[in-house]
Amino acid sequence: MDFESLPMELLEEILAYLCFESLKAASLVCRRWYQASEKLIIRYGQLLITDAAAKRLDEIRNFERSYQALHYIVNDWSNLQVITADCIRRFPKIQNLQLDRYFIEDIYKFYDTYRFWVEQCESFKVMLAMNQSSSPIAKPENYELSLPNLKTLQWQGTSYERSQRSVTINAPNLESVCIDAMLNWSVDVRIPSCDRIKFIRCWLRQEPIYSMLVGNIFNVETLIMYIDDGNFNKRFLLSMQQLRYLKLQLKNAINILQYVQMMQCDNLNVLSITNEVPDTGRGTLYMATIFNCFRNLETLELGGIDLIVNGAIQDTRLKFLKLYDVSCPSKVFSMNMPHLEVLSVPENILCKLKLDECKQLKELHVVLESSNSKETLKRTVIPFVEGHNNLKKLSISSSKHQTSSIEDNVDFKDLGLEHLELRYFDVSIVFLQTLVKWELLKRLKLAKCSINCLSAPFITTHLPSVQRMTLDHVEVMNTSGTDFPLMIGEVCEIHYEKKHGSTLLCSTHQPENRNRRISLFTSGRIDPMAF
Amino acid sequence: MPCIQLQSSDGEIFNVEFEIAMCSFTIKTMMVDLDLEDNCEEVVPLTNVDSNILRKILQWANYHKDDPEANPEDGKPVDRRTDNICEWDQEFMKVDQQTLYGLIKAANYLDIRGLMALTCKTVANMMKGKTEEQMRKMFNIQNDLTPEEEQQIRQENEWCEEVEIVAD
Repeated sequence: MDFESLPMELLEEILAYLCFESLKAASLVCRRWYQASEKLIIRYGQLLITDAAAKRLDEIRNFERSYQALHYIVNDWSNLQVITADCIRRFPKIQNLQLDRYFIEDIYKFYDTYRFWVEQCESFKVMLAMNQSSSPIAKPENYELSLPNLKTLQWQGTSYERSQRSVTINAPNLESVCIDAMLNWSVDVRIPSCDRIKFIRCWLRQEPIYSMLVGNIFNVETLIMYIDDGNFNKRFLLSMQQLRYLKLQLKNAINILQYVQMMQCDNLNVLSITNEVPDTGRGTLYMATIFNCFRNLETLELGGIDLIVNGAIQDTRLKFLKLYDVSCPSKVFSMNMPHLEVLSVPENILCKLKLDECKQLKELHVVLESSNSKETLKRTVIPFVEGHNNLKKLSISSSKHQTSSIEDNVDFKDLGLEHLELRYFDVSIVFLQTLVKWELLKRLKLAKCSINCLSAPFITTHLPSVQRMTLDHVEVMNTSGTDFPLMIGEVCEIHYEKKHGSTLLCSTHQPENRNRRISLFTSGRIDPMAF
Repeated sequence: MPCIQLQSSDGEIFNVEFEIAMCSFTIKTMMVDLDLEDNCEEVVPLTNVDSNILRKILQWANYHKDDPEANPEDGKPVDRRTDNICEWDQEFMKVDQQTLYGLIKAANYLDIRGLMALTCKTVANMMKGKTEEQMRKMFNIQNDLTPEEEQQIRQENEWCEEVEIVAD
């Protein structure tokens, strides 16, 4: 009984969990593994075609794998023609085409020349060239692309000082649109039929998305937008009643917050509004209004805005609440959130917050703002933890810009927690020794912390209940030993490097790469600790 | 608590709580098809699972009995992460290769989706970052590709990159 005889379908199931590089290695193990991995390589991979391919046409002709996804970075038009002729012969059925670093006129020329082939695509990704084209400036023109099978469009534009071009993309089956424009946006994209669009992600500095999507956008379920200016089209937002996920990153929130509070979306699960430059216009959000607009909200993230509690907040379905850089004039802030599981707030909010019926709360993340962390822990954090019996995880971060210290005499008795996380702190070894008494503590994480051993330079502290310790940029000071001064559980594997004198620097290995690359802004989860 | 009796391939009989046995879609279907739901006397034979493996599986199923039902979307490529194994499961998977192999086959035969994902992720984690030669050694696999075939695969791999996925 061994892995050589594993049935094909099980082998495929295992290989599907591999990252792409390991999948390539697995394809070389033996014939059966090749057969199992080939399908996955074709499914998750694409053929990268550069100018160099013109010299290796034989290889294209002899490809065994039938790719359906091609990525073109070929800038020379004669190369492009030679290569494409072979590609069309070898890969007559394509689903996914990516054109990288092209000028808009060349994209149109490519489309126009190979229309019969390009029209099959379900996914089309365009990245416009960064530099100016050397060809003479042509008259303004409107290009029209018909892509009847298209489901996903990704369009990335950049600085492009040419005469105005407009592109109309006729794609009646379009479901997802991603538009990113970094600088000046001078290619005007129009998408006339939007009835089936469910997913919109855009990052635009100037041209607003609502002038591109000309048709009905009633069916959008996910909208992720980065918006630079405050001039927002009210009707665009209010017409989306099927939204489930709304994430807005703003530089001026005043107008948009008004419109958001006029929306009515019973399907909305996730709402995230963050104001990146709060000085230019914070805007006000009324908490009770939000829960009336979105009755099924489960995740709420708000940053860089003003909050007003206007009336009772009762029986929400919220599971995840994250607030940061939020001002709130109310003295006390009472909310009834029976389903809340994760709370992430700065100390100025935590000290005002009164949560009733909050029996599901499992995680608390607090950012301390004052430099007197001892006082804040004693007055706010510890009483809050003691008031919520089911809390398993506590994460405390001091301000990124101002590390504060946890002094030895903080009365940090066993709070019944399983998971403790500290960020941006100077921690003394004597303080860490108090954790020996925490009987349920299983995980300990220190990030961007320094451990000061001044008061006990020779002692290694052993935390027997802790099973896992994560260290991320931790510095050890004033130790005379060469070992890390903390030990956990039975097994202890700590990677450290010794630096000048008695300083030990620790950082855990790079976090494991996510299996598949996912584009910016698409993660459905909101990190409670990313501020 | 109603129980059913499961018989392993080597003849051992396990008395299992109904609710725990139901994590296996195979047993679930069998119960419905054979109309055994009200009849706890009958012994259900599992001819492909030996007692060691079955004991291990029941231990897993007992720990996970309160888990939410497997989400049909779990198989989506975007969610195919392997770094989200809970600590109990990591501890549970510290077994020799033969047991691991037995668990995969049994999880597949019994159609226990959570265990199937766990075992596959564990094997995938063992393979991650390894070269083809290290993988062969780890699983004791003979390379039956000819040098020409190997060359061809290497060449095709060289042209190939991963597609960026738009999550939706």
